[in-house]
Amino acid sequence: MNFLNQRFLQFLCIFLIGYSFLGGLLLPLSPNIEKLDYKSEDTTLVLNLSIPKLKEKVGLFYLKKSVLGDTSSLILKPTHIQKLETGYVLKFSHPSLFKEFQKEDVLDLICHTETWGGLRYFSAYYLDTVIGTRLLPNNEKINLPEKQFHWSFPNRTILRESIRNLFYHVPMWFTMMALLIYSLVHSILYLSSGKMTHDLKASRSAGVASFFGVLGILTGMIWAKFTWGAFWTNDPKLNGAAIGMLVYLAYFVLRGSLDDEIKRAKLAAVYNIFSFTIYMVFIWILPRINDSLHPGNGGNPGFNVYEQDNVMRLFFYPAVLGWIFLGFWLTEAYVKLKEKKGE
Amino acid sequence: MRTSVYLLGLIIRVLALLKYDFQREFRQRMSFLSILLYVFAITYLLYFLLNTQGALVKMEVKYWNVIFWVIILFTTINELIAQFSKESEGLYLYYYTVIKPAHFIIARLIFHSFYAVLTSLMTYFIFSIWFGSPVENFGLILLSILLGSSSFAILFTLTTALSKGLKNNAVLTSVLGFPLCIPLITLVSRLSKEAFFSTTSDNFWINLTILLGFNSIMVVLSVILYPYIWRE
Repeated sequence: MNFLNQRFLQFLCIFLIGYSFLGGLLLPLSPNIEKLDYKSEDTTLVLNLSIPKLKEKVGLFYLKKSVLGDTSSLILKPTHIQKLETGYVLKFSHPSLFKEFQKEDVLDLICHTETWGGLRYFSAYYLDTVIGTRLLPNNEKINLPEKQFHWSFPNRTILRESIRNLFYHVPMWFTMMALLIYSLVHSILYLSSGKMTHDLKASRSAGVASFFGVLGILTGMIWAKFTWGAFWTNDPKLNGAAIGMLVYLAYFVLRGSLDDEIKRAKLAAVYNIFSFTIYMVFIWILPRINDSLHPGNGGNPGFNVYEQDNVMRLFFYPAVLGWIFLGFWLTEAYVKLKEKKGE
Repeated sequence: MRTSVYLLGLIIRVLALLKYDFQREFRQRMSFLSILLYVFAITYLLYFLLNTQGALVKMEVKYWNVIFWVIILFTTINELIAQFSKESEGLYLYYYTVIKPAHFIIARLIFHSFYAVLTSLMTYFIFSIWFGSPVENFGLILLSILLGSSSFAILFTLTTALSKGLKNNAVLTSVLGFPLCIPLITLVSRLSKEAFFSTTSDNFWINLTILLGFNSIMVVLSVILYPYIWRE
């Protein structure tokens, strides 16, 4: 990675990380329905919601089945709307049971606004027979209004402000992957050429990769506490991360228990290639056949379906690039430090 | 023509090595018996412990499955460490002068897999004495024992070869192998879980394919990588 010696790439790296930090922390969230209480009586359902930051008037309210990519036009409009200071009170009272909505369906509340598009509160209401809500069919076709461009991040039901963690949690894994692949390449190069610099680079980049892995686990744990309610869940991706950490700890234990340089380099390179391959197979295949809480797995929508809007992308990709540059820069510095000490 | 000659040579040499391994193993019957004794002792220990806790009354099949595979895993590790420690430096020096590393590792993988499968089958019978055998589909448990214990054997053959001759090699073998055997033991326990029911689920073929894929990847990697650590 000699081209990273150039000052301009280092400045670019600092600039990209600084830009994603500043933008990611300073930009506001877009307004959305933040609080929702419901009261249900015999045939009426009263939703009390607050949309704190929304200046304009809401054009249309309705409940819709919470299915991703659901194109059916089965919606339920409120019969009474009452405007409060920061929110609304909606009253749904309908006489006949709507057959298309089934028992135990989950409904989303959607509001149409002019500049912010359709605001959505996920899982606003669970249908059950106890409450006996009567829903009325409404078969008019409704398309979500187009969202205008705003310098703001999406305000998702559970994520809220923690959506900014996307710029810090995900790039850690990207950087770790890039450094592990770099380490693998140098291990293969070491076995084919036998030059000690390849071994040095392989071990140092694996070390920096483990550091980024630890950071990824820490940021992920905070995020998981906030959104899923626990620091650690039995999720295939989390298990994959933990196994990866164990594998690379074992790699360093192997290195540490050998004194002969050449023997150490050879054994470490062989173990690196072997474990990297199995680890890759593990983390790319097993989450696909298990259910995971992460986006994009087990029926969960991926980030690019509705969370990654254009403003997110403007900060996410620079953050990924910046952190990957930083990872290689650290590796380079670490290798140089070792070489200086060795002389 | 040339490849067929090469293959023939490979088969002959591997067969010769296997024959030697089996002969030596037959002469030293005590080592196989000691592994069996190990299985006996550990199974009885678990039976005793679980019984004092009252956990054996109506034990669910999932716990049966987990205990069974953990015993097999530890037995496999122990027997591989024993196998490798039996060979002296002088014997390796001899091997080094007469055979190619690829032939050696292929023979080793076959021998260790065979050995592991044999001990796992014995483990299954010993295990059924105390814990009973809730298996409905006997063919499936045989298949999972075959695939599972051979995959442990393949994985730990490479890690034992890596840590051979180091100071704390017994610990190091486990440290190097355990993280990598977590995916294997997950897949294997899922595969054998199906043996407790008369019908197989949809995931059966997926699990089987992935396990076979894991095994073949590990074999290929061992054959490619072993020549580099052969002389160390």
